[in-house]
Amino acid sequence: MAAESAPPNGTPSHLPSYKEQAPEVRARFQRIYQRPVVLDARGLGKTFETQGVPVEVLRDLNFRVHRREFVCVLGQSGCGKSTLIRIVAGLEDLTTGAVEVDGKPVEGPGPDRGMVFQSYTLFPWLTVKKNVMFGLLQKGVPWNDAESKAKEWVDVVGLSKFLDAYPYQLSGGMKQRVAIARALANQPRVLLMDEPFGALDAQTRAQMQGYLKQIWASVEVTIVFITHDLDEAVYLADRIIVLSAHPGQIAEIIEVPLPQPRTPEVIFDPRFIATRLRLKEWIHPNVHQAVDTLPIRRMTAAGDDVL
Amino acid sequence: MNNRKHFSPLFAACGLFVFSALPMLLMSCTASSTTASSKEEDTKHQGPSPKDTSLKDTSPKDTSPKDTAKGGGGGEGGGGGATLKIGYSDWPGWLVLEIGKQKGFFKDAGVDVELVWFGDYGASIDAYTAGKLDGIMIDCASSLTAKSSVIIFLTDYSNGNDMLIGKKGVDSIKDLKGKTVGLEENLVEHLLLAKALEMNGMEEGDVKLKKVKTEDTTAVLKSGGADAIGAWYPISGRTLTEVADSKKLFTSAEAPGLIFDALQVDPASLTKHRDDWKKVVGVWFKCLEYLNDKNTHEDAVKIMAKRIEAKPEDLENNLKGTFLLDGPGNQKAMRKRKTLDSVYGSLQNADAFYLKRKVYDKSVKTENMVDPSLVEEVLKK
Amino acid sequence: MSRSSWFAIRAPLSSHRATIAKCAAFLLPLATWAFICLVWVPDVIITDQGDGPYKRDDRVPRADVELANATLGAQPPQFRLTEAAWQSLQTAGLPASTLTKLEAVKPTRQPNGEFQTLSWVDQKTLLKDVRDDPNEKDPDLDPYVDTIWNHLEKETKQPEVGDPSTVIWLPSPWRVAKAFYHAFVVPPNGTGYKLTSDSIDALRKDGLPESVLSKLKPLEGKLFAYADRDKFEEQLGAALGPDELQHHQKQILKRAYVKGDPWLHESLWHSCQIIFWGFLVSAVVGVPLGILCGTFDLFSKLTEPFIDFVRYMPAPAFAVLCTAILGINDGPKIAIIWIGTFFQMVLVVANTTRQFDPALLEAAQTLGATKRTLLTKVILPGILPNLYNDMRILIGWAWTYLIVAELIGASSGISYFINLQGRYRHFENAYAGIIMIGIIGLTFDQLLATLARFLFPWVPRSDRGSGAWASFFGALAYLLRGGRKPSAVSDPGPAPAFATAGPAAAAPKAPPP
Repeated sequence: MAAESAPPNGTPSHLPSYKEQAPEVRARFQRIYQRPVVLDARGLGKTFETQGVPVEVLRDLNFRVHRREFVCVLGQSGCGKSTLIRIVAGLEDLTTGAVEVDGKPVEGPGPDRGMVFQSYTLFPWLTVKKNVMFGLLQKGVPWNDAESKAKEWVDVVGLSKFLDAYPYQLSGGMKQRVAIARALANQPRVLLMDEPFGALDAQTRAQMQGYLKQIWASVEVTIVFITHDLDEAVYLADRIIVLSAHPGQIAEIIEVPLPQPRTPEVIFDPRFIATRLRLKEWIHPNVHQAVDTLPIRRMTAAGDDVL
Repeated sequence: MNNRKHFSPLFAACGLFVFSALPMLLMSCTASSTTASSKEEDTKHQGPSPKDTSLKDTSPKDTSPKDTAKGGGGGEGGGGGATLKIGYSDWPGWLVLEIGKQKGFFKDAGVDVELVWFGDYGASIDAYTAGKLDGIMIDCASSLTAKSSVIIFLTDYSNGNDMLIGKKGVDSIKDLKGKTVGLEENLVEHLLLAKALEMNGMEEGDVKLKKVKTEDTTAVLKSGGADAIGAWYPISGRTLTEVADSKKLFTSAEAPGLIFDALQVDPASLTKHRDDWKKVVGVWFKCLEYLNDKNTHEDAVKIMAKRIEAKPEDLENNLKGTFLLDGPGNQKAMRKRKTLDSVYGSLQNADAFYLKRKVYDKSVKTENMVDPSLVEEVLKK
Repeated sequence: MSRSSWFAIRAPLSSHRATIAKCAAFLLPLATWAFICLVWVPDVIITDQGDGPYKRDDRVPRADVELANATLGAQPPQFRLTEAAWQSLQTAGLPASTLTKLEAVKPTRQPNGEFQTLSWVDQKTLLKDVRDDPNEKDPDLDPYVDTIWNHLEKETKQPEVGDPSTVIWLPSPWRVAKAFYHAFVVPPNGTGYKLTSDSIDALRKDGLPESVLSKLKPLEGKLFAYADRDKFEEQLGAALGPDELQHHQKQILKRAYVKGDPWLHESLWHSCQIIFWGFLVSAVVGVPLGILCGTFDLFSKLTEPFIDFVRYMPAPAFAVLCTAILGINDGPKIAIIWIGTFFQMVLVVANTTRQFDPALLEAAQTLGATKRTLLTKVILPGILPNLYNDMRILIGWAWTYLIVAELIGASSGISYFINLQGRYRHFENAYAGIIMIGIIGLTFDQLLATLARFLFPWVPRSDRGSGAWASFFGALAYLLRGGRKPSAVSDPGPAPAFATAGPAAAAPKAPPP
């Protein structure tokens, strides 16, 4: 429950506090918290053994994700967000605590926790259609049904023209769209996304964020999204779990004080900026140092017009 | 797009092709014109052919007055001490020279000879052909396909130690009809097989040949991979002992003179170091004396047996299969006759064999391959 | 740096320059070879043996030939009993007993029609050679020696004649080309036509009437060489008459065909088969084992250390062992190929499997793949293109073992041919054989590469074929097109923009539950 408080120190005075929420936003959050819990993490901790030296990567994480929520996990590089999502996916084991999906503890990877990776993980030897059919065929769905379902999902991500194309013929954004379709075809309870747009250029990334929001709006899916991009987190998420590094711990769980759905123009909204500033404090503190002047002799003949 | 670039790849490729093809065309033209000028058998030139411009025309200015019976003459004559490399392998006739090595006869004669041992007969021939040896101990027939050489003395003719051995159930050459014989193609045992078939009224096509290295013939007969094999002693000796119920089908004793064995020498080496080679001939006779002298016979057999790692008694029993040729024996066999009692006749027969087998298509002038003059000179002393 | 330079760093050559370079890749070595063979001719290839010891087609250093000719020039003339002399001796009025004695030295007719003759320098040696006992006067010969001597032909010793030639181990490319042609065209020994009782029985079964068969009987047993086929047909025609001949000719020729030594293309095919079987036996166990080793650490630790040890043992060392166990036919040859390839194969395949992107495995797991499906539906299809390339390389490896394998037991195939020709100093044949193997290997590899494009359509093609044959045909096509680039391949169209930004307008319906 977000509490009203004064804007944090250092916030420019014209911006509201990130904790200020419009009434509809607050009501929406109330409704979210009523929904059943899809993902429950209690005291989750992970320690790696590297060359005999134990390294604690995650410590005592506690959070809940509700149905149809969009949660971002945000943190610096190396704060353990990938580890967290891999534990939820079942690709890693936790050392302490528990994590449950729909009340059942996680015991290994499975189609109920679909995942989209940062690297392109489409099966290169299968066409787009067959890639999307993969999970369905694994479940034992008959070929014709799987095919028609796959076609629908490919349609959802807008790639109907590329049903028989191979992954090498697709651009990066298209590949990630197919990956999303492939994961969604299995109708997972949670869709885990590990920095899926990290490898894309800015323009494609913006496009993909738009697609993702549209998919989320119309498909029964809960999304846990990892990113290090502050703008992306605030633009996409309902709530943001901020992790601090070494070891990874929850610094804060921020409710984004903006209504859904959001248009790209929301980046100019003062509450967007305020939230973003808050995140910046956690992620990039002390960035206001002056740049030391470098002792470079000016050797240009262009004159002082350059600077 | 520059239009002039269109023809340049074509032009360049053609240029390269012409550059490489033109020499080929030139060469084949010149080669065919010179071969057309020199004819084979029927020309009776009274002097060197006028079109023979590719070689220096040396007129016989320095003919020294020599006995016309001798074949050699002018040029460098007996050269200074050079190391003569002679290759030999496991044939009893050649093992006799081992006596000379062990007893120091070569040193006594004042000639520097290095006897190079080969476990594989074929490899020794290859080494000579590759120019690594000055002399090779070889059966005269096989020398027709190796690099050119001259016979300076005969060691022996095969009198039973070359044989065809059949497995159990094969009792005679006639039994071989339609069966397989394992031997080295176009080598001495193949010649033996051809003779055996001829003497039994059969043809080459009546048996199937399997190309097997002579050293593998024992294993081949044992495993049943062939119905008969051809080999010489000591390999044939091993085969007869190791393969149960194997028997001799045909041996060189039934065709003496078919296979002569000799020391054959590179012609240039012979001309340059004639005196040294003469000394080698002398050593051969000395070794034979050592072997035939009953006082030293046992020691001689021991030396020979040691070289092939056989028991001296075993070698003793098989010595009669190799008819060693001493002085008079050499003279008799080096008479010019076309029958098999003469090495000339034996060579003609071998030439016929190779022509039939299409190893080459024109006859070799075998008469030029024998130089009896060294033996003559050594025996005259 | 000029972008149109021949030596621009890390920039590709323009297409026509690339074509020139690719052509030069083969033509330059060929031209160098031809040039060397034109310029460096220290030996002499004998074309006429004369009276010297160097045989025809032997390649001898120039100095040695000159030495031999100098020696010949210093020798006295000889008197030869030629065929013509022998014929004139028959009518010279000599008694029959003399002529009988002279049979020991008369000319010998060789199978190819030439005559081997003997010659002497004086009467004394002639008598010594012809007499039964060299030292005993022979009443049949001695009185007539002058007559005999007058009929002999006097000759001065002829020198050796030859053409300039390259050293024996470097035949010129035109000789090798000729050898290439001859190797395929000249019928091998023993091949021909011969009517045996078996072939006549076969013809009887074919339905030829007895009347025809009885006419064939006189021809039975005579072997006609392959080159003398027309002579055989002539004889058939004489025996049968034109009608019957035309009717049955094909059948008779078919049944009378006698197979001798294998033709060169049969030898090559035999070699290919040995490689194929050896490789197949390797792959049947090697590939699955390799995949298991790459997937499961247990298999890897269980088998790889031992395999790593064994693979250093050289395959040829097992030759004698294989012959003893497997006989002398194709068994030991296939075994040697197996020994040479199996152990490498397991390690290479295991390595390829290990290089499979583990992220794909994780993705598959999150889609519900079981362990079995991971192996069969993810790893297996995923490593297939790389496995295929590994197999290509390993087949090349197997080819190199072919030479060793074929000399084991019963020598056969193309390597036997190469060795035999080397023994006879016909190095051009040996070169031709080696080049043949190279061409076969290269062509087969390029075929496999082309096949890969159809088998694995999902592998991106960076440039359109870079192998030797592909380059050659690509260059040829380029030249024939006159230097123009081929029409551009159509790219997949631009990604369609999502309909509109609004969620309602996009309206993708929720999938059925």
